[in-house]
Parts: sequence; structure tokens; C-alpha cells
Amino acid sequence: MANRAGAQRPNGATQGKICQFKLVLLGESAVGKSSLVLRFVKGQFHEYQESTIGAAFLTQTVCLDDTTVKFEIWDTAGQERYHSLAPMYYRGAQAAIVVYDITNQDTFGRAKTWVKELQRQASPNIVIALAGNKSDLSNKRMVEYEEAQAYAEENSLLFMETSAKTAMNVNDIFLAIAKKLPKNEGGGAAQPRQQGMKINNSETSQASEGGCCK
Amino acid sequence: MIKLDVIHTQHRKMASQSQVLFERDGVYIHVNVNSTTADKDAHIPGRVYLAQKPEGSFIEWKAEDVQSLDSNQNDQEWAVIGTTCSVGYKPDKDNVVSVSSKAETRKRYNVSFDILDLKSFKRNAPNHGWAYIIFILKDGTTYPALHFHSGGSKALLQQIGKYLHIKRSPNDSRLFIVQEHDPDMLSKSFDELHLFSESSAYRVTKFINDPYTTALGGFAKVTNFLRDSIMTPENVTSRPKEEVAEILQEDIPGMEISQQVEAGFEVVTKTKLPNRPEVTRGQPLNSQQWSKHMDRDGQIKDVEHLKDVIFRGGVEPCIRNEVWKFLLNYYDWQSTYKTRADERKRKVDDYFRMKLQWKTINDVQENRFSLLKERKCLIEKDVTRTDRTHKFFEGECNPNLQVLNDILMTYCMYNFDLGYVQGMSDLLSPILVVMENEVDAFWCFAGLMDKVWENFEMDQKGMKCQLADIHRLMQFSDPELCSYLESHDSGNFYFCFRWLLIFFKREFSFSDVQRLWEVIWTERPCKSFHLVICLAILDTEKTTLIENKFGFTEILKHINDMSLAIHLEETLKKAESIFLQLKNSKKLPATLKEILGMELSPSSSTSSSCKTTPIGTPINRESTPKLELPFQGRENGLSAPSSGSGTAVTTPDDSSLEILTDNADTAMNLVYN
Repeated sequence: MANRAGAQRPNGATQGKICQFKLVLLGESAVGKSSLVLRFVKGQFHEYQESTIGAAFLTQTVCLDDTTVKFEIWDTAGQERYHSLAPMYYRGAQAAIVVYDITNQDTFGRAKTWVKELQRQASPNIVIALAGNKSDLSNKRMVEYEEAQAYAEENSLLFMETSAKTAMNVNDIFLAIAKKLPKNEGGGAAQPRQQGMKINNSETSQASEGGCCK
Repeated sequence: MIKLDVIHTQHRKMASQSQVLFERDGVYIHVNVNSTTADKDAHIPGRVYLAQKPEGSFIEWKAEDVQSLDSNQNDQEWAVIGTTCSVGYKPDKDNVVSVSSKAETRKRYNVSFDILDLKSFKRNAPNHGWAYIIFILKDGTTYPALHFHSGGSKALLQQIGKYLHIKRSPNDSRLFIVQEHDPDMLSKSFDELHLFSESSAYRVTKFINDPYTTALGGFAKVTNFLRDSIMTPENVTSRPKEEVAEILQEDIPGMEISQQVEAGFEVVTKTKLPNRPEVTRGQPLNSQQWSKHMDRDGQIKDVEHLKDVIFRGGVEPCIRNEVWKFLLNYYDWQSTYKTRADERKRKVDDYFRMKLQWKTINDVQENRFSLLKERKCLIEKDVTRTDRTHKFFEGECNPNLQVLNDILMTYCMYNFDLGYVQGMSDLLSPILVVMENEVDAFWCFAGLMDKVWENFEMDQKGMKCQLADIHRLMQFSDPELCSYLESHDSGNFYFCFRWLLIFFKREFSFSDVQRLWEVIWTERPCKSFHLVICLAILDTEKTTLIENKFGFTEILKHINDMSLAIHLEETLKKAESIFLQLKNSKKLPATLKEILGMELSPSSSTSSSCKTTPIGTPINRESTPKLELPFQGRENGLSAPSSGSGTAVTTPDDSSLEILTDNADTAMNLVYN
């Protein structure tokens, strides 16, 4: 019954790879970054989710066929004033979700700025997803789906409209990212936890904790 | 096709495939560690489970109310999709609204984790009352303590012992660490095993500082390794019983620890500084004492004594509304009834003058005043999500939200250069709750902002400075923890960001924050006492951080998760005690005295040494330290050597050498005040 031999998950995931990725959420204040994470990680939604001061860190594991993907999620403060801290979080990230609020055109503009910054400054192979959040409020929509989709296509971004409130597309966007992330050559048996092979060779930073298939 | 969606661990139903191996009710989560038993909502009853599921063995705790609701709403939220344990999320249905908000709130506390994600746990000895267990996961997740009011903690741990190899920490008898058991490990050489899991540079630094302990510690690791290797995996079946036995022998502290690696560390640290003196806390200032301190004209007598009392015990809630006005420079301590009445009138007029300024800007104007518009939006966004669970702000269309909004907008006009920055609404909310008056709350808030505005500046100078200050203080007060943090990408102390920006507002309950703030505002025993409070909390968490081998992310997560789980009075005691320890150290460098806001002249009178430091006086230091990014090379000499550069040694100012020569004799002369 009890398996003491190590980090095996009895659903068979151990037969495959365990990959760990660092993901960062960026976007204007109050677009729903923390709510998306809370929905994804805990399946909860708080109508009055408090603002994020500093940063929050959460993890969640998803299974893709025979691969277990562990997301290390950095949830950041949105206000422009704290912009200077953002590089600390997106440095070494393999994935980013840039969030805007479909009821607020300004937040879409801000999302574009984030995308630009990531394209310029983050890891070259970073997978970027654009999330148009609060899709449950479509009666107050200010950003057209087509507009955002066109922008996403131009910039090779994953794109979905999401709702942390109804859970629409929340798991889906994370799973789409998981699918797109490189799962590496090192398949086979799970490797010891402390060691890992870097997926992304351009990552030279010694501290790029994520990005390791384990 | 994706087979398995998200492995949701929270509030999943006990699926039909899962088998409950152990369960116990009467297990409570205390919502706030400092709450009194009188507060009915403070203790949430629930049930703890150990369940074997297709995807693993899970430890779960569910609140009782939620439990019954779940059984009614069977499979409405979760549906089994595939045959193998697949779960998917269905959108909330309208009928979810029927879940009472109380149950909804309680649900937030639900605990569920795969037993293989467990890194360690803390268990108190249930000598006094019941036992509690705090589970800490590998990613740093720290759950609220589960209190076993009707017993059962031992039995649960016995169950856990069947799965995991657990060792008691040599430094904290309440802390138990899960030992990694990797079958592959046996086939690897010592080198590959990272016997010295700390970075080599850290090890070297430690070796230079303390060759004896480090070397012995290293050897001990080899011993432990051999012992573990020999016993794995053949002897695994016999092992758990021993470990469980160890857990259960709670009356024999520190057993079998002599060969453990970290055994000597604490001692080494303690020889360097004077002992920490015992301190006691007092009763809050009550209304009789308060009125006795006023003469016939209403002037406060013996201000210093009054501040001492407030520092020692805070203020009773019924007079906060008056006392805070003095602490926040709304009224001058020298004022009389008469001058206060005049002052108040002036403040009322002044407030409404400023409020009118933004109130009279119409939409057309606003469209050409983008900066103000932007701030207005930002304030609106934050006001709607500030302390909405507190009675004062709860409910749709609560009029107090408008007051919160108006004060923040008016503050924008009062200090347009600073504007509105996230975090300010957190600072204002407890003040508004105490004042229950728009004008008074505004001016008290403005008084508070005068103390902390630097934290909110565009360049974050105030924050960077304070984070660097904590670093410097810790280099002197606890070099061991400091070098641990440095070598784990945390030398920037960024995990203290939230603590400092909003003065622990999110770490304590509303009433505790009010108590803490009034204590801090007395600026006793020194101006930067809040920094020492940071040291005190970190001191309490030291063993947990180090023995769990937490890195940057886990430390941040653990610290964030400690919200509402910090003992206020214990922390204040410890902080004062650390302050006295530093103060009594003959070798305390001048830079640290400056950081703390202590008087620099050693010959001056000893009583309450720092009260004269004027508010807002910038502390002159060579340069504003850059907030270091954790994954970057370090720039200044204060931080950790990057791993690989084995020759680097952390030398704080020049204090580390001084520490070594300091001795404990100085601990005698402790009396402060």
C-alpha cells in the first residue's frame, strides 16, 4: 500500500517525465492575475481578492499524457510603481501569462507593453500566453475578441479569454502552455529531485530553478 | 488528447476510488493564532483524513460545514471524467450562491496535499491542552496549525510514519523533517549526492568562521549518510516504527541528536553576542490612566512615561481614537483642549478644501487630466478589495467604501507628487475603522504617511534601504541565518517586502495590527523597531527555513503563508529582547546604531535612547543599496559570494570579527529604561 521507494505517484506519472517550469503572471493592476492563479491552484474564487503586495508564489501540477508538469507560478503586483521589480520574476521564466481585463481597454494596452518587454528582455524561448480575463462580464466588453486574437497571432502568443470567476478556460490556458513547453530529451525514469537537466540551453543563470525535467 | 486535467488537491470530493485510511474529527483550525477563545468564529471545527486515492495518498482537512454542503452538492463542482482518476472543473453553477458566505470563507482553509509533497511538520508537545500540527510542504506551503482538541495527532503521525522516514530536528524538538528516500541514491557517489547541499561557497565561508563545527558537521553528514544507506532499503520496514517512537516520546527532548550535523550551531551564535534578556509585556493603557495623564487644561503630563506604557501594552480600543491622534501627530503632545479644538477646526476646513479640489473636476476636465484619472481608477480598484471581510467594509454598496475612496483621493491632492500607490489603502483602513470619521482618519493617515512615504516612492528607495538595513542588522545579530539566506538567493530580504511596505498589515488580524502599530508608533525602544520585529519573526522561523533547506521561492512562500500565524506578544517580546541584546553588545557598529535610530554618543543618558530622532530624518548612508535581483550576480560586498567562487568570504562591515571577540559577560547590564 504505502510505497516508500520515492516520489512515485500511483497514477502512473512516474513512468513518464516530471518537468518543472517557472511561470510568471504579468498585467495591469486588478485584471485578475491572483484570481486566475487561485482558481487554477485551489479551485477557488474570491470576489474581493485583495491586491498583491510584493509577490506570491504558488505551485500546481498538471499531467499531460505521460508527463507531469509542475508549474512554479509567480504572481506579481500589477501597479506601474512596482514595475521595476518585475524582471526579478520573469528572469528565467519559461512561460508567462500576460493578463488584461476585457472590460478595460487600457489594460489591453498595458498587456501589449508587457508582451514587448518580455520579447525584449525575457528568455528568448519563453512561451507567452495572453489572457483576456473577466469574460463573464461580456456585457461590459471593451476589448473585442477578434482584436486581441489578431494581436496574439501577430506576436505568436497563445490566446484565450478566461474567467477566474466561472473557471472558464482557466485550466485550459495553463494546459495549453504546458503542451507548448519543451519537454526535453531526458525521458524515461524519473530523476532524483535535486538534479535536473536544463531544458533551455540559453539559460545560463545558475539560479534558473525552473525549467528542469526531473 | 489530454488525459488528466489539473491535479486539484483542494476541496475535491472523496472520490469513489479513494479509500479513507484514517479520520478524526474535532480537529480545529484557529483562524488567527492570537485570537481569544471568546471569539466563536476564530475556531473552525473540521475533520482530518488520510485517504488513499488513485493519484496518491492525501492528507486532508475539511471544515465541518463545508463537509455537509459538499455531500449535498455531490459532483456539482467536480466530475470524474475518465476511469483513471481524471477530474475536470465545471463552471460554478448558479446554485453555488446558496452556499452561505460563512461556509465559503471556511472553505478557504481546507487542507489537502499529497503525502509525498510533505517536507516537514511541527508538533507541539500536548502537555498543556491539546496538540497541534503544522504541515509544511516542499514548495514552502505552510498550512495553518491543525489543533486536535479531542486528540488523535499521534495516531495521524503514526499513519504518516508508515509512508515517510521522519527525523526530529536537533535544534527544535517540535520540528520533524521528512527524509528524502531515493532508491537511485545508493548507486551514486558521494559527490553526486550533494552531501553538502548548501553551496560550496557558503560552506567555505562557514568553515572560515567556524572551522570546528563545520568540519564536524560535514563528517556527521557522512555518518548520517552511511547510516541511512545501510538501512535502506532492506530495513525500511523496521525503520518507521523507530521514527514514530521518536515522535511519540515527546517528554524526552533532544534524543539521538548528538550525531546530527547542525547540533552545534546555535551555541556558536550565542557565544558571540550578549544573552537576550527576558522582557515582559504589560497591560494596555486604559481610559483612567489616560485621563490621569491630562492636566486641567488637557495638556498631557509625563509624555515619556505614557509612551512607555503604550509601548509595553498598547492602548485599550475605547481610547484608541483619541490616543492615535497624538501618536500620528494629528495633535501635538503639548496641546491643550483649547488648542486642539482650534487645530481640529483648521483641519476640518483644510480637508474639505482639498476634497473640493478633486470633487469639482468634471468629466471633460478629467479627460484632459490623465494623471488624476489614472489615480482615480487605481484607487477605485483597490478600495473595492480592501478588507472586505471586515465588518466595517463588508457588503455591497457599503458607504464606508466611499469614505475610504474619498480620503485616498484627497490624499492625492494633498501629496500629488507621491499620489496613490498600492498598499496605501491597507494603511488607511485600520485607521478609518478606529477613527470612524473621515476628516480625522485623513489627517491620521497623512501623519502615518509622513513616517513611511519613502516606501511608496517611484524608485522604491525607502524599501530598498530598509531591506538592506535588515540585512546589515542580521549580519551582526545572526550571522548564521544571514549567510544561509545569502547562499539561498535571499540576501536581498525581498521576502520581507510586504511586511515593511504595509507594516505587517497582512500578517496579523485587524485588532492585532492596531496593537502592533500603536506599539511601533511610540518609536520605542528605538526608531526602527519594526526592523527588529522582522529579525524576531525570522529568528522564530530560523530552524524551519534552514532545516527544510528552503531556497528563494520556498522562503517567500513560507513567509507569505505565515499570515495570521504569528504570535504578536511573543514576537514583540522577542524583538525587544533582540534589541537589548544588540544594544548591550559593546561591539555594535555605529552604522547599526544609526539604522536602529539609537543615539550615537555612548555617554549620553541611557533612558529611552532614541526618542529624539526626528521623524522622517533620512539616515545617511554611503549610498542607497540596489535591490538585488536574486538571480543576478551580486554587486556589493554585503551579499553572498556566488557559488563557485570558493574564496569569497562574507565580511559585513567589520563587525563579524568584532562579534567573535565579544563575550557574554556584557549581558549582565541589561536594564533598559
